[in-house]
Amino acid sequence: MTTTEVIKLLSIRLQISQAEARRCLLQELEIISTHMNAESQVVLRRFGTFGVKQTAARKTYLPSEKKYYITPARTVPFFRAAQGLKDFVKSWKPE
Amino acid sequence: MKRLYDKALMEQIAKVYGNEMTFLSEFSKALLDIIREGLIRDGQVRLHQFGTFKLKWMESRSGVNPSSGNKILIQGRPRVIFTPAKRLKEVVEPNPLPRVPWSETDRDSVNQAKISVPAVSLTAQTDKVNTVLSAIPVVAAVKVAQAAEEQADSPVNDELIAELSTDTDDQLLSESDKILLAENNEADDQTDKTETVIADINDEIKVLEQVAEILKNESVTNNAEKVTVGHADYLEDAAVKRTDSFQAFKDRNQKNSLAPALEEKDLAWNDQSVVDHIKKLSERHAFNSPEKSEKASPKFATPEIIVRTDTRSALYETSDAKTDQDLDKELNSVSKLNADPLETDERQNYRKPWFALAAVAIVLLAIGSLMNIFTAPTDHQAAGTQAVTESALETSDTQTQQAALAVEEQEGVIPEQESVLTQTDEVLQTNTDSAEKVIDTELAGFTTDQPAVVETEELTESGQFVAENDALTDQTTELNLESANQLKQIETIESTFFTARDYRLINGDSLWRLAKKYYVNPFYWPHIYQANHNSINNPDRVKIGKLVLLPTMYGEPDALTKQDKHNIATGYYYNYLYHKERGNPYAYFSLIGVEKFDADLLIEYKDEIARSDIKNLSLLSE
Repeated sequence: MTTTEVIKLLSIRLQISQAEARRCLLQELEIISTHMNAESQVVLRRFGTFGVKQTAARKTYLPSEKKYYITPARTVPFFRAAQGLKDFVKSWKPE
Repeated sequence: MKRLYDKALMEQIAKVYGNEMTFLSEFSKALLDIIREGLIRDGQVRLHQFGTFKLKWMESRSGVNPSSGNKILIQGRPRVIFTPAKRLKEVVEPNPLPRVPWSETDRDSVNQAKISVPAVSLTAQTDKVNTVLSAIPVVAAVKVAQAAEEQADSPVNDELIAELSTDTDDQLLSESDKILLAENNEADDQTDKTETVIADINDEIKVLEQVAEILKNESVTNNAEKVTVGHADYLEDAAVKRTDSFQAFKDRNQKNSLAPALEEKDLAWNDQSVVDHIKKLSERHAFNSPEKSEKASPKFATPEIIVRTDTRSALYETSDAKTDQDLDKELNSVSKLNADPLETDERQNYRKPWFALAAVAIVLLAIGSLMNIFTAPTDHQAAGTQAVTESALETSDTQTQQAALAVEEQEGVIPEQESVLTQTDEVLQTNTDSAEKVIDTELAGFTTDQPAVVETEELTESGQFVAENDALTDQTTELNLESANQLKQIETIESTFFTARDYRLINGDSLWRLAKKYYVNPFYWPHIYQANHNSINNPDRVKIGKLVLLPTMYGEPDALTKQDKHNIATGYYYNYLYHKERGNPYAYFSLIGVEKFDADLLIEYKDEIARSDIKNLSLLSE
């Protein structure tokens, strides 16, 4: 499922135009992404939490250049699924 | 950390973009529902410039229950994974540090830190010297104070200076006193005196610097000297302690025992036995020493008897021999018999019987092994040994009785069969002509393609006879079957098809072959694995010399009882678990065995079996 499909479904369910659905979607995602900091994180009930975590500096290898690099420590976004989502997805099986 | 829940998020959106709260809550609900449904439908939902939600299947694996320590099968389950988009990463960390190429200097810096440990100790020594040098101004201040005392006659602090003058030798002055003295000096303006004092101090500083240099050079050597000195001290201490301990021992004896007090004379090696012991030890030591080892060792020396001239005359009187040679011979023979083994040679006398015994034992073993090989060659050897064990186990009276009964019945059956056969022979003899005809027709039918009309004419006549013959043969077979059934009934009622016993695995054994040998059908091998699944790790590879229980089989191989089927099915289930743990994709093949032998077991363990395997099984069974 892609963003366009999500927008179409939203427009059908909420009986709004696709442009409006798109605008609302982007607004929500924008607010979520801005609140993913070291100070705050977004918790959506029965879905999951959006937050940020720290990764340590590490030694990496670039096969194209055949060289080793030191990648510095970074803050990376993460998503932790809630129990409700886990239960919802339980019945899923790969084809 | 601040957590933004659903409502707070909606409020934030409303604050920034000015939307209605009711609409936003509906919208967010709908959005999350769509994402959930999309995950179930496609397995992934991609949100542009935000990230993708993905489902990943985690395979079932074996785990350990930490509370009980038992092995458990953790079932496979999907897992939600979120991979953030590039833009989201940028939003979270706008200006990340670039990656730096790895250089060997990073490693060298670490190594230098390691190597510089002794260097640090050297610097510590230099620091010591520096502290000494830094102490010089303090000393100078003290000197200044002393000089000031001599010259100063201030009216303000006469009493104080009188006190200080007494403590000049100690050179211990508080800071407050120094300050006071300095003030006095300033007040008096005795500059000439102080200049001379400072010159003296400079000379002293030079001397101290020289001392510091000497210390710097000899700081390393001083440590070594200290070590030696310390060692000497330790030795001295030990000597003192030893003497003390002896004194303490003497005192203790005097105090605690009623016996007279021990003296040093008593403790010395005065006993004769002790002296002898020391002598023996010294001799042994001498034997091992390089000077005496050059000589021929008594191990290889031939026993020689040298008769002294003094005793020879006495011996002539007792013995019959007249010449020296005869006497020597006689003496040798006598001496060999009466010779002390310790005197002549210990090992030469005592070795021979051991060698002989060992040789005899080896020969006997070789003969024994050869005999075994000739009597029971290769494959039959194992069977022979097994037969012996079987006979040993079958000691119960019931079984012997059964065997006797079986023999009697077989004897009783045989004459009946013979009579029947004779009857059939007679009938056949009477109908030889017809039989010949039948054979001819059959041959003709096989060899040449004759028209069917000819056959039918003759078959109408011969068909009756053939039918009669068939009936007779049927009778014989029926009788045989009846007797066999009787035997079966006796066996099934009173005993089992195979009674349980232990079996030690030999070269070339496998569970498949054992099942083929003892349970007729090799597909019953899980019956053995089920009984030994705790001891056997890998059912496909069993080790030689392992003791295995061959469990009882109640029913015949053709007609298994319910218990047998259940056992075999459990064996197949254990086999499934073994292969599933190791991630064998074809582990579910063994579930076919479970389904075939005991379908109820499959239902019982349905929850523990992976869903994909059940699906595969259902596909196969359909």
